[in-house]
Amino acid sequence: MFTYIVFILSIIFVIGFVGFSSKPSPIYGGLGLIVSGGVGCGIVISFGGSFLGLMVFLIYLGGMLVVFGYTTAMATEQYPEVWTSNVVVLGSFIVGLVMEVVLVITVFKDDELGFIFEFNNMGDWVVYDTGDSGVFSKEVVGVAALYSYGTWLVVVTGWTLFIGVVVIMEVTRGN
Amino acid sequence: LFNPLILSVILTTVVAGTVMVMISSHWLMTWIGFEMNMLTIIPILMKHHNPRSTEAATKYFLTQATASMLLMLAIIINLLHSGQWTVMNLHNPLSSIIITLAMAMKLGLAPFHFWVPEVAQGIPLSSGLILLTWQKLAPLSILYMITPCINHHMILTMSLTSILIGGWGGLNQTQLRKIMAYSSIAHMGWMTAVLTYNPTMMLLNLLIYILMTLTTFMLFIMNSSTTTLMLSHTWNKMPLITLSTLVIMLSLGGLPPLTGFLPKWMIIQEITNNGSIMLSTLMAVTALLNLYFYMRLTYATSLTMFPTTNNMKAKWQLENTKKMNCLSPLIIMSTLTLPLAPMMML
Repeated sequence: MFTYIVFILSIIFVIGFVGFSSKPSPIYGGLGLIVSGGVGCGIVISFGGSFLGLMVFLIYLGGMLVVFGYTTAMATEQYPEVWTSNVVVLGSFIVGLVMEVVLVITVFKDDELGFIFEFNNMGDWVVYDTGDSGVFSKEVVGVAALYSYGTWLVVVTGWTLFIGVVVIMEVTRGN
Repeated sequence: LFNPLILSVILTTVVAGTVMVMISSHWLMTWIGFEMNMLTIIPILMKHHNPRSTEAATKYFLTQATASMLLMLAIIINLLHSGQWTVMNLHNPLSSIIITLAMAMKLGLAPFHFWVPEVAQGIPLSSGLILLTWQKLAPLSILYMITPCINHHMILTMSLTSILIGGWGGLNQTQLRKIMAYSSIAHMGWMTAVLTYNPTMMLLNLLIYILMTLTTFMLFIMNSSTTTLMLSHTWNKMPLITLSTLVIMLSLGGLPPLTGFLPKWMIIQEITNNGSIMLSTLMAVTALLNLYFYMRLTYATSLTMFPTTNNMKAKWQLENTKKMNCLSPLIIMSTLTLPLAPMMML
């Protein structure tokens, strides 16, 4: 079972996404995001990137999603819409689930799926071992490269995050 | 947004987003440029906080975000098939089709043109100016960069449909911003039609279209007119603007001694030299639809006096408060530069 851990985690990832894109109230959407975020972190960790996976938990789930949850709790209505509230939300959730189940059954039966890319018997997704990558693991080298070769990227993303806050304050000003 | 510090920061980021799309060699940076551009133009669209502007900004945000998502999908598929992120020709036909669709959504080509009139109508005139001119630069530069691998059938279908829809859609409009939106759809159709034949003509059409649309919008802003009826009061306020509106509208329609004829002439020449006579005939004939509603605007503004109440015929002759420094050279450049055509035989 643990050979196919990445595949299982990816299925739960997609189900979490279907859960919040069928548009219940944002609180329940946040629940779907927590599930998907945690599972995505698991996928990153099983490829050997323990630092970045834990960053997702700390910053994304523990910082941004917490703030999102608090603001949504302040702005919510008395009876928020849950997945079983009306036919539309439940219907879209079930359609997403059915499509995912069809995909999984197709992969198990044919052992090969050539839709956009060749996907045979989960060969790419099975983690045999984390690889002998020398002294430093690849993802730590990546983080180091971000701050040395990728200085421009850091500048651009920092500026964009700052501008995001400025834009939000401009839009919600109201006068 | 009228705070000068915030306005300069936001305008700088709009420009920086487009420039990043144009100069990046890594697909991720182009995507970041598009997102920067979209994020910071939202408060410009919502300059006056009323529900109509909010609705227009929301529609713009949704369509552009979907297009950016499609762009990211195509970038990842390209990465999967070639293993590298360099912005040059794409290595996979599916990736190229998805990028063309994403750019068509960003530009407002048919069948993704439905947001253009609605967004253009809900925003102030100066925001509409930025929307219809500056925002076209980034997607067209991406299309220019991937020109060799664009699927010809798809882009010619989209451009011919855009020219038809731009012509027919604008016929029943009296609101000036919607007319300019349909004009933008038609011109984008002309630009993307010639893209796979000769990309330089696309750049020529883009340049002249931006000049003419800039001038038209500045004339409208000077009048503060947003409907045909308000434009028809110009004879009383600024009679010289009626003459300028006449020549600009005829130039937009593509009539020969004016500048607007130059891109149409070059495009039809390039397409005919490549053997697609039917396509160029259809494009030329459907440009007449555009010319009809431009002519209707000039008829209302300069050629007749619409029936109005007596109050409208005797207005206070006050001085113009809008600073229009570049208007005179722009009018001249958008109408009289056709004789420069032999200079650009590159």
